[in-house]
Amino acid sequence: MLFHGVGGSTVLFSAHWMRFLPSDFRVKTLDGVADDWPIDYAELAPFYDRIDGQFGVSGIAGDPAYPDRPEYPMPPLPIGDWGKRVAAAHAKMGWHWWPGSNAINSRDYGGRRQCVQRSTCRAGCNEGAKGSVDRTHWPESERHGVRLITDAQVSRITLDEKGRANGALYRDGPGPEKHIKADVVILAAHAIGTPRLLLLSAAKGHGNGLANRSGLVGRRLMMHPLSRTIGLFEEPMMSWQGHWGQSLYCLQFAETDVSRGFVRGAKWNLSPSGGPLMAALYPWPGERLWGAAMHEHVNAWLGRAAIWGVTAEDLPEVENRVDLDPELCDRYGDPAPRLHYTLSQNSRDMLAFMNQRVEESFRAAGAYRTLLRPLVAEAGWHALGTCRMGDDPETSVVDRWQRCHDIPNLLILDGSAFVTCSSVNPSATISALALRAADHLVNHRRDVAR
Amino acid sequence: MDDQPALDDQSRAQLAELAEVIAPRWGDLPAASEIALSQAPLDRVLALRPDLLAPLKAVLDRVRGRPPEAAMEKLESTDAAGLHTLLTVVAGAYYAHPDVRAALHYSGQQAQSLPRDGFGAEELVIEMMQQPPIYRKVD
Ligand code: SF4
Repeated sequence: MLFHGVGGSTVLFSAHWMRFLPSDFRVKTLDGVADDWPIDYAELAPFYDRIDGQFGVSGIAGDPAYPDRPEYPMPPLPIGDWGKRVAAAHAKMGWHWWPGSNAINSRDYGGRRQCVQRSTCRAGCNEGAKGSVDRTHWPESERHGVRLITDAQVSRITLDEKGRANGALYRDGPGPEKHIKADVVILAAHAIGTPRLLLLSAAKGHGNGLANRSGLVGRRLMMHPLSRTIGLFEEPMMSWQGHWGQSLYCLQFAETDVSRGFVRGAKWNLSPSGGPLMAALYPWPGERLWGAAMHEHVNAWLGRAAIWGVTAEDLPEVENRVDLDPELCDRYGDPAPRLHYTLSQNSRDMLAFMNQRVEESFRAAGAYRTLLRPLVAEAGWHALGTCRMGDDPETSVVDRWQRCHDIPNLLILDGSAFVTCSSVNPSATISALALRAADHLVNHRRDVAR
Repeated sequence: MDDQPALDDQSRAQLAELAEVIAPRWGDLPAASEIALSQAPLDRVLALRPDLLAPLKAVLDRVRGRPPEAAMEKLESTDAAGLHTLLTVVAGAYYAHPDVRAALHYSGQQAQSLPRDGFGAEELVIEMMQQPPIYRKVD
């Protein structure tokens, strides 16, 4: 999800707050595909614990889909009538489910109010209950002296004569480009913006783009292909209310089982279903969206629907990539990013399998009808992996501390650094990794030559 | 907000005809004409979503002169984006209207207090907690 504004993608995100599974860091070892990370779950766990406190996460420990962890800062949000139905169904079927972990306040926390369940999270939370970075980090950072320059668009990372990063060129309105100097440059422009900037910054000795000795800048683009199924119930559940946010999640099918015909797995999250406009505009398969049909749709959906979203783990492939568009430019004349992406057979097979299981889940929960969108175009799609982490400079862009191998005072602290993408939502892992890298930077500041 | 010209009378009349096809009377639910959708309700949507004005004008231009049902069928078969714009405007204006909400017994998305008695499935969570781990052990 992309959003240009203070707080970035977290302003509009759904705040699902999930840790990677231990196996996510060992995909090559366990499944013979993709690559292992240079770090593991145990190494990241203390940073997950700390970052949960910073964002304010509600949930409950004890999930058998994860190793032990400390209790969450706040108890879970209500799972809703729809959640109770699905939880009971999964309990009967012997399938996993767990109350949703969300970066949403279930109590007043961190100077922010608790959630009021208005369900408008994806348009930004006007209560301040959602842990978006404009509320969780920027105010305190500014109190500590950080200067935030808004509406600034960086066009190049600049290098000194020794090939170290020494700042950035940017514009923040009409007028000439400005240069800001820095001893350390940290890039966090999303898995599309970050490689674009590195490619745009091609310089002497880096004609291929900055930090691109491996040729992997922009490569291995992973998404989270998403399917969505609506379950329609006879009983009123007031499902226009409720955080969005996940009411609950299911990791029954997150780990590899080769008998299913694919490797890796998917995460499911259950949500409420919004107001009448969402029902009216939903692409009801094979049906007209106007006239009597519109009324029938709203009548069937409003307050009586729940939504399973399924995010599939994509595997990294070098041909899925971001490069520079030869024609399309931004408002300042710099090339726009261009995406090349083909959905793999593994991801297709995985979604097809999951969609059948989701149908079973909803039917067991009492839904009388389901509406499947096998691949959602406008949501999901967490872009990840375009500047992968690794120990070998020939096969990775950043090291285990997220410093560029080629330019050690240039760090990449966003989802570009992911080696694989897991099936779970990435924000908790992006943030925990950033905290870990920032800690390391502070503790080893002396080693970064000025 | 900038002062973009609102829809002219001709376009409003055209929209009213289309809206009547999109949202006819249905049981207790009023037809678009009964809530004068092409007047204040439409202006409300365009005030909240000024970005919809230009694409709305464009889609109206594309089907001008056609009977409303034929216009809708044309959009449905050839212009998914235009149909989506039109439905967003009309359904947005329709479902925001108090008479429609009353007929639906829909009070809108309201601020609520969180329940004090927990998240709603405590016993089932305890059952799940007692299950053996399902994550793959590494190393
Ligand atoms: S439901 Fe979403 S938008 Fe509303 S208060 Fe809770 S977090 Fe914020």
